[in-house]
Amino acid sequence: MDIVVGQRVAPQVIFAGPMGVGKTTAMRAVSGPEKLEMDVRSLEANQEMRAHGKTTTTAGFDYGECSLPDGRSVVLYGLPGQERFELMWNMLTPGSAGIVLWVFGDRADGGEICAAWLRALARRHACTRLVVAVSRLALAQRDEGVRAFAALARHFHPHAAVLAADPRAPEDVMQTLAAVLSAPAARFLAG
Amino acid sequence: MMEQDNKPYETVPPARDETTHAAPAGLEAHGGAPETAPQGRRTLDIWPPIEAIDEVETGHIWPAVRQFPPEAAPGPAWPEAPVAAEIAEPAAEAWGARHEAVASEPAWPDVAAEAPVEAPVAEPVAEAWGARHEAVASKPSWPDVAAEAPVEAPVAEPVAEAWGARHEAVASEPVWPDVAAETSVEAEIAEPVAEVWGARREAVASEPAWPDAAAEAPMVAVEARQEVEALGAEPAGPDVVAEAPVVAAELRESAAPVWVAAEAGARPLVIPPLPAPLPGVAGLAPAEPWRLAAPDIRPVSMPEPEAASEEAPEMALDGGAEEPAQAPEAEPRDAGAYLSALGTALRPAFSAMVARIPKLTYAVLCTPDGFNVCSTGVSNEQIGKMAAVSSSLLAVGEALVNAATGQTELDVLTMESQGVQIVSTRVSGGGHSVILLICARTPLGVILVNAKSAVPELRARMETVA
Repeated sequence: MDIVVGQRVAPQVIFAGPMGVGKTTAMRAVSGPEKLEMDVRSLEANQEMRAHGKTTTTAGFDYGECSLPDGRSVVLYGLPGQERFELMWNMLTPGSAGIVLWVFGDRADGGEICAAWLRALARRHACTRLVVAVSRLALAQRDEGVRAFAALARHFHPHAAVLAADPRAPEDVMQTLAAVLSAPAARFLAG
Repeated sequence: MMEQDNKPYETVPPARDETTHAAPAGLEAHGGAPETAPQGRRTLDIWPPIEAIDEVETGHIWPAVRQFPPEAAPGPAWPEAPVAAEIAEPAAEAWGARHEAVASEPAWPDVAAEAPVEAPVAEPVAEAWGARHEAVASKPSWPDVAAEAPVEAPVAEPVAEAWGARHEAVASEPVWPDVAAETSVEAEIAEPVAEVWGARREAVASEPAWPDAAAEAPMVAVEARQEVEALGAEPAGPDVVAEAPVVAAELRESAAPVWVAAEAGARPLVIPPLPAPLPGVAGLAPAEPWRLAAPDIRPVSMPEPEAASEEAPEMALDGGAEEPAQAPEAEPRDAGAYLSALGTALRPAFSAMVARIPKLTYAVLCTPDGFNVCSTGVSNEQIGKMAAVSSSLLAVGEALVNAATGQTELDVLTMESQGVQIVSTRVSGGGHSVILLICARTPLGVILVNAKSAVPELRARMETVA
């Protein structure tokens, strides 16, 4: 058997966000065959989620690799969305080069959820790049929604970038990756 | 964790009689000096004779033991070799004459038989030293205690050197070592993005704080970043880099062919132009409505910014009770009822199993998605976390097995930590699936046998749950 020594180091990007927002979907959209998924049947998936095929949740973490258009490789880690899996958050987030926080754009409590996640990330990160990817924003509310999330995100990270994205669309996901890797790193603020 | 592990012990030389270097009185009756120096928790665990010594005597004759409580001396064992020598040497001296006499004897252990007077002393010594004596006696040169103890130092030294280099390398790294390096590399990405921000740059150029943005367009991203970083949280001009995606979304909507625009002197694009308006992207007419979206889209309400504080407040995601939950609305009543029913059904089999496992630390039955079903030995505060960790552990193990062999399920997962065995397995039946995790300071085989014997009963009871 061939022996492989060493590995090409690629920047690690974390996909974070609440359960059901589309982290695993986004991973699948851009990951190559190297992906790992640790989905299990979910007791939390509510009726609406189940009606639309959302019956599983990530218990460990999602892993994927993708190549940027410039040829660089990026390693993706998808965090489980529930607080009880914070051990995985603690394990994976400190080594990341950037974080893409996926948030709901169609929920009245989307801002609260986003703020809670930003606080959680602020507590675990001294310095990193941050992109807030707002999914499911209605057309009429896109500009207003993005600006509102941007104002919120800046409250926690001085250089946070905010964009609307569909986790099902590979182009959108790649755009978030390009954005997070091109964003300047900065320390999280206390919020 | 690494920092803790890398930290050498703050070793305290064992108190001993400096005038005679004699072994502490009473030690002989309990087996003499230990085979090795105290090594934190492990030494205390593998040194049962010490437990037999009463408290006063322990404090008097072997204060060194008190210097190595597990809490006071967490860390690896390797730095202890010099201490081991210090402990072993006086013991070896005390044993010296005895060792020589024993070494001259052809058959060990015959001490008790051939030296009746010394039998009361020699017998417990022989018991305590047990296998050690046999191994040493088989060697040509006895006594080996003093000789072997220093050997540990040469063994430990290269290890310490290896660690030392690693420590220095780590210590020399900045808190965020790749920021500077990656910034320059990512300039290749940032610059073409900056080119896309035409409208934004024009706005920037019109502002006094950034008058040359238009002229310096190719370097806007790099310089803006440097400027912003130099100014910290108060960028002099608009935060071009951070706002770029917002602007990009606006530009994309206009479908202006600015993505490939390259000014003279600009570096070649390293990311392709953004695609034409994408189906499903927010802000554009979605080709396929998001199926999970609520029919009546409600406006997003942003929380009021909190007053800045020195420390990050307790977060809901970290257990803050007053903070909003981050998860979508769940069905706690249904899930709770299901967990209760499953736990009630499995409890008899679970109780019988844990009763059969000696020295059980804790046992957990949880769902694959991390909810507690039935557990013991876990505090109320830890129940949720233990269930989640147990499920994550098996999920990671199964992902590893799947990647390596293609199998989808992991039969048994075992781990060991300083005599504590952890066994995890999945039990499925009746359309249900639970994860069983057992932690006990017991031989692995005992846990495996009991766990496997409990599986059929657990499975049978799971089939009774609707």
